[in-house]
Amino acid sequence: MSEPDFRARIEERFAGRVREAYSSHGMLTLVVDKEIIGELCRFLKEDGDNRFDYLSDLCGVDYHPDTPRFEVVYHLYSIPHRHRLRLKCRLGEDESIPSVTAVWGTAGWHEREAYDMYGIVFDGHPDLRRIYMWEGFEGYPLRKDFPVRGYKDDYNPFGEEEAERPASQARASAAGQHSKPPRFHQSIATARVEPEGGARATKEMFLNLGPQHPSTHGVLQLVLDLEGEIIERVDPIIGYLHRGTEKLAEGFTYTQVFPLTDRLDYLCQPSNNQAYALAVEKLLGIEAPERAQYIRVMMTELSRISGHLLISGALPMDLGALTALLYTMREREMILDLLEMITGARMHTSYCRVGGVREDLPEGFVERAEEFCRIFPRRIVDYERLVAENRMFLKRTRGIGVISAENAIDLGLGGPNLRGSGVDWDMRRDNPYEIYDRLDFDVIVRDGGDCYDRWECRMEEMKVSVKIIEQCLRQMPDGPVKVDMPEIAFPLDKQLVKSSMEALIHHFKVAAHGFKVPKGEAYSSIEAPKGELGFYIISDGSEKPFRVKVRAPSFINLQALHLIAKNGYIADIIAFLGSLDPVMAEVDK
Amino acid sequence: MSYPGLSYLRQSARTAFLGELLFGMALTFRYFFRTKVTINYPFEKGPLSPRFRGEHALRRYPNGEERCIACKLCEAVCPAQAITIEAEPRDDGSRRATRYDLDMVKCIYCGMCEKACPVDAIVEGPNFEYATETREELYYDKEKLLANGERWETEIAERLARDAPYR
Repeated sequence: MSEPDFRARIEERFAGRVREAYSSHGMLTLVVDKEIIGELCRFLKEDGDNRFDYLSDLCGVDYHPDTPRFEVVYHLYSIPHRHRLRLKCRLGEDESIPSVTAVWGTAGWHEREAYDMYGIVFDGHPDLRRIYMWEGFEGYPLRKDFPVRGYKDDYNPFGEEEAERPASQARASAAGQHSKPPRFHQSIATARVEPEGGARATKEMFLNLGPQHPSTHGVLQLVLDLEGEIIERVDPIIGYLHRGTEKLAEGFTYTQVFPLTDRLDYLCQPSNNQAYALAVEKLLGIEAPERAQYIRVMMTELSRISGHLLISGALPMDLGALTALLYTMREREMILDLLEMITGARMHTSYCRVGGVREDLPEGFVERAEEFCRIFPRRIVDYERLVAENRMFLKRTRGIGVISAENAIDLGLGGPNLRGSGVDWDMRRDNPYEIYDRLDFDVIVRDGGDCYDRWECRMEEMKVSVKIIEQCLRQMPDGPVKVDMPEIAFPLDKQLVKSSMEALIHHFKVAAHGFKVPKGEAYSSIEAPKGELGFYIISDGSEKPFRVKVRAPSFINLQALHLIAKNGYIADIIAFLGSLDPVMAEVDK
Repeated sequence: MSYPGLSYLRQSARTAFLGELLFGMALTFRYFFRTKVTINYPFEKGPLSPRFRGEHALRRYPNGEERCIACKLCEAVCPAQAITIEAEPRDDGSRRATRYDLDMVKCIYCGMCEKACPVDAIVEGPNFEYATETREELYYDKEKLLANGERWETEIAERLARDAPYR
């Protein structure tokens, strides 16, 4: 169904309630009354011709000091029809908005995040608590009038003075009384006590897994509500690694944001760089040269292998089979060497730039990459024999932690977690970006939806990635690796800066002030190793982004834990977690 | 429980002859006779590319004059705000930095300073072994950075020459 069709249907059904409708950088945007948002979303999801069954992203935006102050932005995607839609609701300072958790389960954490960061209240949300900041934190960090450094208190000696705190960020306590902020996470469920003689008064037990537990792959606390060995409820407490990437990005120039994106999913930085660069390029209306696109795709695929290698070795390790990890780390080392060769860093590459990549591939890279492509598929056979045929591993993962296709879409899962549940959707094939439409590759789908299928998807995807890299190496044309626009990118040849006055002036301007991006908004997403990684950028026409929203796939994947852990055994929680493959730095942003 | 791809007979055989265990041992045994992939670190080191972003250094011209002209581009472009520069004209009228502080604790090694520098003064060198016992030792000043430049000049010049076609 084409765009004008569903636009007409929506406007017909909700006549007078759609305030504005416009197309922005290829995405239809509807500004609607907040009262109808629940009904509209249900209509969009269930109406046979629309089928917007996948909520990609939900975020708040603060337009302080304009009124109405806030905006809630919904990015919808339709897996059957492969199209996108953006909805917006505007609301004033003290207004609340109906929750859409009943329509898409994935909205739960998104709305908690918007509440935490902006103080937007979602009516009807079953569990509206802070998610990144601790309970008892005062103020809403992403609001425009909240300082980057925060306010001074016992835990933050470098913050701004409390006296300058505006009324909208006021402390809840009585004025003048600066009580100590409560200890971190005082009011989480650990302290919940059943009334004496209650139905479950004697049997249940709370268990804290983490925040420092080797199998959480980062700093994650899980509060488990146990009934014997059975998990009744799991409450992930996240935010231990929250660095405020989105807030920091608002103070940086567009180029300076690249190192921040490196630190999201630190196992596959090139894909983060790529997703961000694509979003800014969309706003600027430019495209990277062909060679740069091939390099980016190749880097992303290399990092996909490296990320998958780590987790496909780490899952068996968490379950007690250490051997596989040692072998996968050996191959990962080859990839890190390749990345170091191109970018000069093994982990934090920050190699993409707006309009291309930083510098061309070095001499000898192609041979090394070809050698890797030759060696690696043979090594996968070893892992498969070590792990996939190991009956102990099969027993721990087969039929464990099953997610149905319906639930996977409802929870907004992505990547191998979604395809492991039998949903045949891969952005590389279905919404091709850069040069993916010229490549020939398979999308790996498994139907079981259990831990083993998710693991197997990753193993098979590594083989696919090797094929993509081989094709890139074959097809890659010669040519420039960044756009020839001196007002955006450094010149291709740095010697030019030393000989041409004009180049020098541009060089100074780009380095010192960055470049201006036309006013507008763009959402761009790629198929990152963990799922759909999206960047929603709003530009106000200046050198710095007005708002950068990261649609972090790990954050959304982790939300599914409560569903698969319910009624599972406590011993399996490690397998659930390992098979979902969350990277905590990306979860906490 | 059934295992796909494994007949009942093969399963039984595996159980009887400890299949998984034997395969694992065989793999280990195979690698036992191959070249080791690990290196004996402080004595052996892995290869580094000319682009490696390690410890910073301020370079000098071959005649001994310092390159940095205190244009402050690196200060402006640094996402971590790790660089502080103060400058004033010298007696001969040339502009040079009087202060060049680099907080190595804040630095995130993104390499943007190196890319921004119009005279190739600040570079990230090949050294990655500069751990210290106190934080204070990591607050580098101009003298320390220039000393680094002198110490690593041969390597840095070679790296720059090797990577020159791509810069």
